[in-house]
Amino acid sequence: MNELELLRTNHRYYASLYRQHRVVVFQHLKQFTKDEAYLADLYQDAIIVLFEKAKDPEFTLTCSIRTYLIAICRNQIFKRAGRTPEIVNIEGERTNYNDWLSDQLEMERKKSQLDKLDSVLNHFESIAQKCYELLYRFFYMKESFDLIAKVMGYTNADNAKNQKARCQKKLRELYMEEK
Amino acid sequence: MSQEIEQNQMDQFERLMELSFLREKRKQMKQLLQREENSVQRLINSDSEQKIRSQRKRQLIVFDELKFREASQILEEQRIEKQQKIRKIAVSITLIIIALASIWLYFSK
Repeated sequence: MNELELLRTNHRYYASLYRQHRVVVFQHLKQFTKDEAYLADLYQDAIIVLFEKAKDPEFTLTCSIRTYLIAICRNQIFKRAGRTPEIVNIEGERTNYNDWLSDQLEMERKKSQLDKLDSVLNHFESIAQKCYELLYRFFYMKESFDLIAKVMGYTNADNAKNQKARCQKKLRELYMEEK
Repeated sequence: MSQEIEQNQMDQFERLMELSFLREKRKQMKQLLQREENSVQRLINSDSEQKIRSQRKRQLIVFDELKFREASQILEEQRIEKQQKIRKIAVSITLIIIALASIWLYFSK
């Protein structure tokens, strides 16, 4: 089983992965900065990118995971420095890690809205548990409506989808009421 | 037109929700990785490696910790439970048939 498969199947593998490549990745990145905290931050982000990508069964790598992590860290250094990233070819990667980055930037832009939504969601979790579970399964766990319907006792996927729309509407009303 | 605006607002809210859950997920992963980093740092400046190893074992948590159990896992368990139930019923029916057949044989003699 290769590392990518291990990451997909073993939920605790992240720790081994983190330790396994840390020294070499840090060594490589020390040409840019010696700040270990900064390097750790970059490296952690790269692991998260890899972890999110690994969830996609279509995602494959022909280069080693270490090369991939280094490439992402290098791109991040340039992005964070406000420069156009040096194009580091990530051999074999079909998808682009920039979508991860654009989500990150969007989160920063919408920080106040997201903070407000977080507090509304906390309240929502206590007053409408089933609705919260449905939304959590859909948005966080990325489960299909078919699976959600089966596990939450809805008659079919369409029914679960309609219920999700109702829950979302309810949540939005709470969000709009919140000052 | 107003329907279009309403739809647009709903889409924006949906995106906000996506981002909210994604941010939560990334925050959680970052915390766990930071914990891993701290553990590595302690190991580098370590006094007793063994002590840290045992500490690490205790702290090691599933990366993608979820509030609810995965649907596929629940369904698999339900399937196994159902299979076991069917097996139990089948065994019970077989035993009842054997018992009835024995009684019938006994009395027919």
